[in-house]
Amino acid sequence: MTDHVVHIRFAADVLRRLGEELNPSVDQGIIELVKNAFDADASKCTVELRNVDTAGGTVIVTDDGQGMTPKDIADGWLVLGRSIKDPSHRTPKGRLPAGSKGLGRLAALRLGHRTTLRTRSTTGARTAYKLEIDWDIYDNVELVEEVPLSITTETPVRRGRGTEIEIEELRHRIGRTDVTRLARALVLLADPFSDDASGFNPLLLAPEFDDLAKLVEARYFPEADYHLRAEIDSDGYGNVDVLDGYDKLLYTANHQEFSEHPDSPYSCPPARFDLWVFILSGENFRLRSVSVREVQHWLRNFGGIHLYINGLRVNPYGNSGNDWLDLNLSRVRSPENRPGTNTSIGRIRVDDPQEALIQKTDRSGVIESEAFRDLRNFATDALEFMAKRRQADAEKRRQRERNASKRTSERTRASLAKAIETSKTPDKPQLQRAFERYERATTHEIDTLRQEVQLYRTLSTAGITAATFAHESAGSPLKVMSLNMDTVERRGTREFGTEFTKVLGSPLAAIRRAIRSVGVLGSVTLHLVEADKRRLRRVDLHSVISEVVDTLGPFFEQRDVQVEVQLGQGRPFLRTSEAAIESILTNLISNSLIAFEDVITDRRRILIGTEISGGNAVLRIEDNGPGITVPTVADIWLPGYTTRVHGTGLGLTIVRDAVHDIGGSVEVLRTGKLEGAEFIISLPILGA
Amino acid sequence: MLTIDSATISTVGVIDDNPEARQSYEWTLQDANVETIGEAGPLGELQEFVGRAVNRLDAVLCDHHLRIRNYSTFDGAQLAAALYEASIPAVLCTRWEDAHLDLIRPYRDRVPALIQWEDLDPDTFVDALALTIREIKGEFSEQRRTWRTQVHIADVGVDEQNEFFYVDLPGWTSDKVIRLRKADLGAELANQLKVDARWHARVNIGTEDAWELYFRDWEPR
Repeated sequence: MTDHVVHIRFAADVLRRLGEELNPSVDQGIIELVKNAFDADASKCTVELRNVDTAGGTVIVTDDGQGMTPKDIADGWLVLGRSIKDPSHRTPKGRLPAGSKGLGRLAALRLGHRTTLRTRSTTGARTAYKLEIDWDIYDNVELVEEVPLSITTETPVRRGRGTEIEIEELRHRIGRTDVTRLARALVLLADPFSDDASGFNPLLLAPEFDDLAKLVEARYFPEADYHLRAEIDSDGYGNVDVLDGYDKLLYTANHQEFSEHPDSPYSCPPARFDLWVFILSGENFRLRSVSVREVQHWLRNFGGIHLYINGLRVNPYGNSGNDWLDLNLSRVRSPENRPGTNTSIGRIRVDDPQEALIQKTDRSGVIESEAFRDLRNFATDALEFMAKRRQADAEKRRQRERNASKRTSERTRASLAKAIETSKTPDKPQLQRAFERYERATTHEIDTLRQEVQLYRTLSTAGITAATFAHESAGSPLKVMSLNMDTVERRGTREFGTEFTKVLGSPLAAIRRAIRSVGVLGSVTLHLVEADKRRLRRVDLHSVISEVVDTLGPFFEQRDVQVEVQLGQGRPFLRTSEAAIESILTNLISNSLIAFEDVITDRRRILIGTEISGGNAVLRIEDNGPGITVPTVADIWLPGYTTRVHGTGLGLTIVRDAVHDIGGSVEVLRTGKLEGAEFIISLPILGA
Repeated sequence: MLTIDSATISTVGVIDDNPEARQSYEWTLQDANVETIGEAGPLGELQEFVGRAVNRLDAVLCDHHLRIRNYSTFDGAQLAAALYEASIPAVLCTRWEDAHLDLIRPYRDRVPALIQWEDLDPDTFVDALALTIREIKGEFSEQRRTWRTQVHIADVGVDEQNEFFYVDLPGWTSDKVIRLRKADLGAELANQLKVDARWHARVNIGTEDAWELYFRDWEPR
């Protein structure tokens, strides 16, 4: 038996909360009202701001759309959380409604203390309807339903159909930044770059808007050097074309050829991605009718990749600072062949009648669903395809240039030789000898450079191989040795007691030390190639010194070298990469270790010290080895210069280059305080 | 047979792609008075393997690097975490560099014990197992218990592959920067990363070692 029928009811405070919490910014609130006009099939929508630079101003949004009947107002406009629009059906003008839940509208309407709606529908053309909402009344009641609202009939204030919303007594001022943001959002709302415009023209009555509207009309697309054009069809399969500045097809690929997952379709609605990429150099624009500055200015305002769902732009994709496809980060990795948000403009248009892409209620983007992720993957795959092909072209171009320069050099040489040959000058024999000497020197220089490049390649390959196989070559065998050493020792002691340790303790300890030394090589290799170490950041000099000394510890032990570290006061830090400091230290320490092989000393010593001097940290690495014994000290810095049979001659060159890159200086004393070589490195620091 | 907190451990599965390393682990664990089963592999699909382990193994010791031979398509950390979810205590035993830690850390909420093989002996194994068993029962040590704490985003995606972000924890020690993979945050959160932002997450700030830290329940701001 039912005793009482009750309902869930809403406190009036809910309106305030929804209004405030779902209104990320003034411009987005107003944009929601403009989207309502788009859904109403309006062709024009005007936003007027009156006295908004202080609180208490007025916003008026007027459109020439279908307008509303009292039923539309009562059953649709005033119902929050549900839209009467059916996003799977198009409007008479063929638009897919933005499908607002009505919450964004609430947020916008509550920007002021009072809101007035005036509307005249097509079906009731001779009658206009008016509804006034005084939001302050809601602050004094408990439940939303306690406030009655009346729709009154009035003589139309203007001719024609449409809706006017007047938001009065604004709670907050709308500042210049907000106006500029609103102007940009309105200009971009209905895809102004499209050739098949939707016929919807939002307008803001403000100078900021006029300037931007003029700028957007500039349409510098024909000036682009590349145009990427990619599509996903209704089955989720994509294709991509890249055209040059003359619309000539450069590269093309089907789904299998460009998708990261060639065998699976993208799980997102059909989409079209266009990106125009500009090479913004004065040289490139020299013969054009527009200047590089004009295009840069245009891109600064509208650059980035915008997302349009069902004809309307979705915030914040493509906003300044929103690099949702990571264009700029990719560009940092490969600036030559990748676009950034300042060098390109693009849009992705999605037709989504089934609402696979759902916008967040607070209008801060699209919910991170599988459909959205795949849309992003599609765009990223297309960008990746273009970058790879451009890179391949750049490689080919470089190869051509190398070949051409070789041919030019040969031609020049032949013509010079001929000129000398046919010369009538009495100095001809001297000229010929000088030319031959020059040729020999040049050939030698080229050979040296080739060898140097090959040496770098060989060493890189050795490093890559060591790092790749560090686990197999050292990890597993060492683990087996170490675990079994422990087992032998444990079980031996258990079975034979102290006799076991007495007989086998020392040999076992020796094996254990050897295992530790072998293990260091694998660890050091992996440690040195650690990607994070190449990151530019604030580096604590003393920490790196301690870590390097610690890592190389077993080598010092093995070679009977005593390392003393005398760090000065404070903790000097500098902006560089840990790898750079490690390269300096490791190469200089290796140099000392090798130098000890040539002498017998009582006690091998390496001293590493630091001190602060002015704005620099001075790092000294010295040893008591034989010192620098080569005739010309400066030669030790030359690439490939070595006094060892199997030396690479690169260690000290790397030290010099690394110090130079950090902005420091390096000098060497043939014999320092310890009687061996002393390297003094001065590095500019940020603080200590 | 071992009894740890009323849990009986008699059979321990040993996972390593190298047969000799597997056997070496087995000898060590046998000295802890348990029977061992060296899993010869290939291990098959992760969940299939976990399903086969239930009712057959009381605990597991596994290495992290399992993909080098034709042995497994998943890593040891992944396996240890999946076993934990099935209430089978697993101890991860590996030698790691920072690069490996990036791949292990996302699973640390379900991998209580990570030990280097140099430190493995019957006693350390039993201690690690006890820690894991207690955690499966919901008893967390001070070093493993998480607290909601502020996480400062120190740097984002400045590595070659744009793969990482870097954080420090003012409530722990602010001079240590921890590297984390963006992929482990999920695309939605990763897209919200901004340098100098201050987020919150649950982190086991009771530990003193950076390699022991793990993060969950991120709250972007």
